[in-house]
Amino acid sequence: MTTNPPKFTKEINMLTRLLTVLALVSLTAACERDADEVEPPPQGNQSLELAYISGHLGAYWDCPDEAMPARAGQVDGAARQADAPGAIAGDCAEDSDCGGFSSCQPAEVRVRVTNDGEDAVDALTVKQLQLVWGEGDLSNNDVIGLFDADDEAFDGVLQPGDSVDLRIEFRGPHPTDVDWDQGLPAQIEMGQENLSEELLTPELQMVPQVAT
Amino acid sequence: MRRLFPLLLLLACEGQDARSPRGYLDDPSVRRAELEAALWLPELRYSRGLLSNYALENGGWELLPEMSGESAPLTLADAERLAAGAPLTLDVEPLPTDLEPGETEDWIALGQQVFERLPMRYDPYLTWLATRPDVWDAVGLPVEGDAASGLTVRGLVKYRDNRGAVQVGIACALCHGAQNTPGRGDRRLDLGLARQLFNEANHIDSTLFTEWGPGRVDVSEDGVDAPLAIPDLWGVRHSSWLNSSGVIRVSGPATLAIRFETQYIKGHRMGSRPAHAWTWALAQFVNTLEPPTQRRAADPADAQVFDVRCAGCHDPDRGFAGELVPADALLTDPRAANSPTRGTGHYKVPSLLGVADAAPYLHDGRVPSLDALLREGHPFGDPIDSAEQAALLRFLDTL
Repeated sequence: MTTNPPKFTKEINMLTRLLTVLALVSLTAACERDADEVEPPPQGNQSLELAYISGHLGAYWDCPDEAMPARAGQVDGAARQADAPGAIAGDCAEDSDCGGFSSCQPAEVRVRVTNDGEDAVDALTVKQLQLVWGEGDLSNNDVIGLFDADDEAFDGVLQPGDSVDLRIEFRGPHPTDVDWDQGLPAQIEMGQENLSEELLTPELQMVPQVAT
Repeated sequence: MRRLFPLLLLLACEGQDARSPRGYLDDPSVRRAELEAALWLPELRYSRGLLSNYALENGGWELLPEMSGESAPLTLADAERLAAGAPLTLDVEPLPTDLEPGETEDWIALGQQVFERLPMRYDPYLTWLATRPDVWDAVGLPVEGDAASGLTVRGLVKYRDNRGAVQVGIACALCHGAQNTPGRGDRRLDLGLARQLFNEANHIDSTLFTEWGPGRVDVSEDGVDAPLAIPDLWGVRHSSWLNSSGVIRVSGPATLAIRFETQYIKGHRMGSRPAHAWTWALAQFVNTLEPPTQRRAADPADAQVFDVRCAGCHDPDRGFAGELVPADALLTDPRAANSPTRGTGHYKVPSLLGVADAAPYLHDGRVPSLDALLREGHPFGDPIDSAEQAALLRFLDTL
């Protein structure tokens, strides 16, 4: 019985060498990467969907120190009220007649978050919240807290298929920075370490002071 | 078919509103179309704020939790509890949400409950006000009822918010329920003074609200004090425009219901919304309001003077209301018409129903009497002589 040599032996050998070289080059490149550049391992099938519900820029006329620092820095005209002494409850001594009444309220956005992936999300949080002042002009605003429908601090856990309505409380813009006919959208990024979803809200306005 | 009959009957009777009540109650796309038709200047901040939030296809205020509907008039005993630092208690049935469209009388009755009980607005200054009965008279807050049935502060209500806490709010009846008459604007109520007193007590340095005075409020939210007279509501069902500047064009009861709905949502800081059944009911109720006084018949000669001099704007077939008039054609303060947030450059021609009891006059209440208005010159039209003035005064007293 004779054994015929396989056809294309020469070509197979060349291809094997080429693949070996490519594999070595790839391995070398991977080893030379900085540790920070290593892509995280996939976390399974995780996905979020965000829907805007409502929002406002807060009420800071009586407590401008609680707002973000003024961008424009003006102190005249319409800004006069904002320079007044703050009227927040914390400014009042317990035995004073302040009585703890305050018209101040932080800015907030309410969102409905749905876990439309197959795995649970267990550390859901607000990764970034920025106000959009104009084309390319953003400001990072301090997130104060993330609350559920019972106004409890959200524990960050969302099972597959579940939705939760969350209230993101944040430090709003200084009242002198927002014109009366102006509104500011907020750009929000939510998720966890390896998962992000963004939402751009409609323009938010200051809390109305009267029944409008 | 028996179930459909009331609905078909109501549709046939609605006339002005081509859409069914169910459309407003159940279909966001109907509400959306109504809103877009109503906001004829969509670029205004007021319009933008509604268009970007109300009845959206995905998300927006439709997703807000519904208000609890648990509310009751604030009693003197409640005020005393608050003043003593004790929390308010509340044990009432919530307002119903399950009426069928055909039950017109039931809708109107529910609307009256909404008018008197549902909190239009939450604000810390109202809670403070409830604890200070010593200022109620100064700011014109009326205490009503009797000792047997319980004294209440008209228009101040206690209600359960969505966190379960009992809060103080104001209902429609505060501003529009004077003299125990739903629809009557309150000329004594001085909410500007109430806000100033609150600011003083809480060390808030504010110049807003100082121009208001009794019977006037500024709802334009534009940083400029341009208060408007609190109106009677008799003319609402005849008017094609809402707000003094006519920023909302009315096409039917759904427009009014949407107007109320968005007021409640803003008044609760975009954190909850009323049931659609309540705002629909409120619109039905407000559309039934009539001046309480029966008038004598008009002298035909006096009516003739009105027809010649006034009817061109104040249309007798529309409750003596009319269209919009450019503010710069009027001899009056144009600030409200030119508000950066909801100014249209116009003022609406108001209804004259019950006008003899509606002093002070004009949109900002600057004219104390009809006599003064006609003698000193109506802000629009040609001068009229004294005989015509007398005839018009007699005629207006019949409306």
